Amino acid sequence: MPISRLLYSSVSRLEPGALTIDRQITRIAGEAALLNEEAGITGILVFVEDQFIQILEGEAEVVEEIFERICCDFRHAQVRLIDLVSVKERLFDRWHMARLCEGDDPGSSLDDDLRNIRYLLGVNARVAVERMHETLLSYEEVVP
Amino acid sequence: MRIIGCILYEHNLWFVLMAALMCIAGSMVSATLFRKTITDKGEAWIHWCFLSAVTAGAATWATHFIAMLGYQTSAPVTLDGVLTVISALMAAGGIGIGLVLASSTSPRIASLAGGSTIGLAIGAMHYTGMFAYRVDGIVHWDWRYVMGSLAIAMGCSIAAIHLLRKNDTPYRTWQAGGLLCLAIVGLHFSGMAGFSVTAMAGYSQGADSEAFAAMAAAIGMVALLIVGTGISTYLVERRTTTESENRIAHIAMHDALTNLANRHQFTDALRNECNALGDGGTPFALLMVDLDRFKPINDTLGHPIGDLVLQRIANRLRLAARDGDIVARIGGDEFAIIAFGLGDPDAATTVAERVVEILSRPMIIEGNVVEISGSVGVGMAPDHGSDPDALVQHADIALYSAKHGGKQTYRLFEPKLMEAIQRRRSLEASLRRASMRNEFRIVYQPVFSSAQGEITGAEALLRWTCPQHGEISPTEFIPIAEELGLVSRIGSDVLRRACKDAAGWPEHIDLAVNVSPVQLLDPRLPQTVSQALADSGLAPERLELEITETALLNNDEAALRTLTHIRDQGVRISLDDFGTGYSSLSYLHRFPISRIKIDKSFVQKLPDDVGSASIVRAIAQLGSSLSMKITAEGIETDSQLSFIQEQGCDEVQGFLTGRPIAAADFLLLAGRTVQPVDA
Ligand SMILES: Cc1cc2nc3c(=O)[nH]c(=O)nc-3n(C[C@H](O)[C@H](O)[C@H](O)COP(=O)(O)O)c2cc1C
Repeated sequence: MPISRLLYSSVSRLEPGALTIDRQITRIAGEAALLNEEAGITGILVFVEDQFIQILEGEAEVVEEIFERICCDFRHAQVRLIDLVSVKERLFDRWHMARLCEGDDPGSSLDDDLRNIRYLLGVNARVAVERMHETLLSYEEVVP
Repeated sequence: MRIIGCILYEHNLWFVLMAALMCIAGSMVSATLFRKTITDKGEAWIHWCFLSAVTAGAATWATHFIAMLGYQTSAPVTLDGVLTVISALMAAGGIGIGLVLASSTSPRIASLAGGSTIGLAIGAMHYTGMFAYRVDGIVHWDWRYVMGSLAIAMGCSIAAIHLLRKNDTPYRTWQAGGLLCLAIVGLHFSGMAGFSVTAMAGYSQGADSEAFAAMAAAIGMVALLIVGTGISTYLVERRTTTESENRIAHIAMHDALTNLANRHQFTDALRNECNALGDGGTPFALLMVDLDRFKPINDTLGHPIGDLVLQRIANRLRLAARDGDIVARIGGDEFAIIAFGLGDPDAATTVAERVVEILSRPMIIEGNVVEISGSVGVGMAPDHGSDPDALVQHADIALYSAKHGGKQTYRLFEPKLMEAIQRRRSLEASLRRASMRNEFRIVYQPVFSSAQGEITGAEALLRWTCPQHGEISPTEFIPIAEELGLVSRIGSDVLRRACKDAAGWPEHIDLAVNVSPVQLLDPRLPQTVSQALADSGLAPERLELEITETALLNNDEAALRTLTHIRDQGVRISLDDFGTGYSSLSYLHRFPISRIKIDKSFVQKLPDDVGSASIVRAIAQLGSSLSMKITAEGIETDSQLSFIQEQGCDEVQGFLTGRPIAAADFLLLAGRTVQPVDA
């Protein structure tokens, strides 16, 4: 069955409060993973330079529905849909919502890699997706 | 005094209490049912008449009967069964007739005849009941009390019917119930006051008080059942009516597609809120919301998808507004929000900001990507108007200015917006005139090769001086021209004149002309291009049309056909403002594009901004891998120029290398051979 893969970016509207921004993102990704598991969605949430970059993979209708819910969320703004394609198989099949944040692995090149991914988005979305996958694989061990 | 004495000394108080409860409950239920009967029509009316008569009859009869059982005489008592039953039938029957009369259309007959019949029926029941009450003793009637009691019963009933007919409020029903209660109580006790018994010695005992109590309880139960049936029938009926009335009211007040409030409810709510302002109501905000690009969605994707879009928009608007605000759909793609109690303009614009933000987010519907946005005009009551018309008008002016101020934004009303609207109107008129008379000028900005620094071409740019308002920037007048439908006409004129100018330039200098998204949708564009080339004699290879990504966004099939047509004539296509648009790469593969122009917003942040630097680098690499030419626009400093040169961009243009100049000046410049670039 063909799978839809959606890529979007948005700007965070999270404010540090009782929880640090980092904690809030962990919570968003955690809750998303639970909801996505039920809906059969996989993907990754990247947070870099105050931006979210997210990939959702799943059945076309489900991706539409989840994306609409995400678009109704005021915890971020300026949601920009970058790519929506039909693919043969999932790239993130092991993660209902993986998470990669700037600062997750201080001292490594993770932050640079994430920033590069952000620049790539505007130029070549497909390459950006592959780069996100590679980055996730190489930091899988270190990030929570 | 006689009457009070009668209640206190001659009645058993427990029975009186029970009778009183029966009387109050019965009267209230009767009044409610009477009201229903009097106001109903048709077949249902007969049923209501019957139900009311039986219920009210049973209630009055039971009251009377229980009270009678509590009447304490020194003489033995027996009851005549037949007469007792007849008295009950008389109550129900008489009240029934009274109700028929009370339903008459003539107010006089209804209240007087209906009311007095009901009063008489109660009286007849009472006195027939008294005949059924056989006392072994000497019975004495005081006729003045009897007449008085009838007068009380009739008077109270007439007043009750009068009230019920006059007004349909629950309060009136309670009052009428009270009057009916008074009719029954007044009749009973004043009647009983005129009744006295003197016991005769030697006769046998009648029914004892225990038997009486049992009978009272039994009668009370039966009557209660009847009254209860009356109540529950009424309640069931009212519930059904309320439900269907609510449903009808909901349909009347709501938009069927989105389930938002409709224009009708919006107008009502706004009027109420404005009226309340005068009586110490709180200030509030009115937000007028308009979708910016909805019509093309219906046109290209069809109405079923358009409807789904509207439903999602409705849901998003509800989320953007606060709980309790009214969100209404007041037109095809027009919405309004009444934000109650929101008197602070900053708070109102915060809501407006949320609306703009959430509407600007993309939507995917059945595989279609829908990019829409909304504009919002905000008016504050009472500051910007305290009557609905003025408030709506001012919020609309704010909306208009938001729409023309670049869309996807909000504006708070202020008086100076009125001037802006006037300026806009007069610009529209001047622009119409200008396009009829070709009052536009064309200037040329030179393009240089970045390596050798010589002129390789020029971009034709449009200039317009309005007779009234002076020099108007293209970013201001092009959108107006698009809206007025003038852009194709202006565009083809520019193309024709620029080709003619370029035909006089040295052969190695190319011409670039901008084509707006609206022009690209025009299927006559390839024809216009070939005509311009033929008329001027310019070689097609020297012409390049610049398009933007937005032009390709929603109509890429049509755009692809048009562009392929033009390319087949030998004319080249370039992609302008690259990097600011939507999804960049896919277009480069699908469309016959031979040049990318890096948007000046990136170039101007060079070389210090890391993000812009890497975007420029990436685009330059992309160009060489796709064998497309790259031009960097908006170069203003030497360091920008040298960064661009290092990246291997083919051409540069900007204020540093050459500002736009008039056709004659450009001809002079181009006539000189090699133009060194200071680098
Ligand atoms: C950056 C970001 C990413 C999110 N990703 C997901 C996701 O992948 N799946 C999901 O179900 N919800 C995700 N959410 C949460 C949704 O916006 C929404 O809160 C959640 O689906 C619950 O929706 P509901 O309140 O309408 O049930 C995300 C939210 C944010 C801010």
